[in-house]
Amino acid sequence: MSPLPSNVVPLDPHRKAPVTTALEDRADDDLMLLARGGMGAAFDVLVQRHQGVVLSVALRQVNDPVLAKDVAQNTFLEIHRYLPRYQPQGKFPAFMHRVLHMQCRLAGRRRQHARSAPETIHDHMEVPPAPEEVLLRRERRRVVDAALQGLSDKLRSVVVLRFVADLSHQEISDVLDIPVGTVKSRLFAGVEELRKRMNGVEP
Amino acid sequence: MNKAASIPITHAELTRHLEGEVTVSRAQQIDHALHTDPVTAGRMAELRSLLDTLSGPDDRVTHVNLLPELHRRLAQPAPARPPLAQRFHWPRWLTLSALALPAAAAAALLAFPRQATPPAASDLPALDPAFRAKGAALPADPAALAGVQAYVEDATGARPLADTMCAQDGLMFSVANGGAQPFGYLMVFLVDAAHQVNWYYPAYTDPASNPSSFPLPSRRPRAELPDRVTHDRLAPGPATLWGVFSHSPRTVAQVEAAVAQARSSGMAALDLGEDALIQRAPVTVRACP
Repeated sequence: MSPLPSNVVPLDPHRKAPVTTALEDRADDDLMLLARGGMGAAFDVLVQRHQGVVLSVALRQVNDPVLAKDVAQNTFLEIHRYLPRYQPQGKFPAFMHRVLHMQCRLAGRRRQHARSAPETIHDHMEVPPAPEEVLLRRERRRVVDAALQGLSDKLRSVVVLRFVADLSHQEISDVLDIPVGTVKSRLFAGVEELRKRMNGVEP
Repeated sequence: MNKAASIPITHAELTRHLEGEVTVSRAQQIDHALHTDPVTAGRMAELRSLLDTLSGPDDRVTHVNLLPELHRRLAQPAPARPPLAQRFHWPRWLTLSALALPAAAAAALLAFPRQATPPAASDLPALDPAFRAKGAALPADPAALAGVQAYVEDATGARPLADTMCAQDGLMFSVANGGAQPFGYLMVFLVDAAHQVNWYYPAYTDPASNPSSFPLPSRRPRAELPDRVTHDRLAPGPATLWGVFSHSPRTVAQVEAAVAQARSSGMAALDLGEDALIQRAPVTVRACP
């Protein structure tokens, strides 16, 4: 059987026809389409690609490592359930963070109903022994996290999506369904309040 | 330094500066102050440290791998939902009405049975309307909302492929992919008079590779595929252009095996699984000067 000859004329000269692109090199939308078609490995690559940021955002939002892991699991389960309806528009990160944001809110409500003693990460996960520098960084992170938890949900969500998830103002607007102007005002107010709390100044 | 430059630079303004939300002239003043004013530089260092801590990796979650637990939960069957009667309490007449609707729908299906599986190629008309639609309008029947339209390009632009084509014609394609459950993948190829399979989608440039179906870009009712593809070894004579829609990807090797099997058994149909919708159109390839 004859393979494609050499005189293929692409309409877009900068676009190379996909021949054997590795899953790791494929765009999020491609992976979602492949997963929808039954290729489980494509969804695995998607999870591996984004689980770091999903866990980080969840941890900043719920401030509990065990709960954050549950939130991250549920986020990817929800995305998997949504596969048949997913429309690839090049906006997977915004879509994923919208699902994650909902899961964080649900977790917050559940926690209000059944608040238990917070578990520490050391109960569940192995953390390598830390030198002094790492301990100092952890202590600084603890202080920042404590200040972050003092923010209202509205301000904290915007600050976390901007600086932890690294979303643009427009993407945050899409995720939270608020105007870009509101994103900016909440962002600047949130950072200012965070800074004041870090310095022990009651905002 | 002008009057604006003497306005103190606050923490809030530094945050706006980092986000690109100050005017160009003010940004220049802030940049200047960062090099000349220790107070401003200190404020910026404090702000950057805060944001770096916020955005930096957190060793409480950097070692977590969600996949094993995710696989376990995905493998579990969905939890059974309690019966409707336990979840809702509604009047008996309303329940009966709700039950009557699906019953009527089932009766209608029995009266007008539809094919449970996509039609085999031999069942399709020689000129499938979805494949050969001359007009722009989509078929009214949602079940027929998947189809490929081939185009050739001449001096006047792209025009729908008619019953004949020159061997050196480059083909372009548009796809209709609607309905309640649009297909996720597509393959387009031409079997020429010498029984050679010539691939348009997916691209097949390396004989050692075995590429999979082309992922369809979206659920838009119509989409143009990106490339114009030319084959220079099409054998002149009667040929068949095939389109294979599916919900899971197929490989080039699978399809070529199905083509070979169909030829050896004298069947016009391709056996590519029940979730594949196969469309075909005969075309005569001419050796043009």
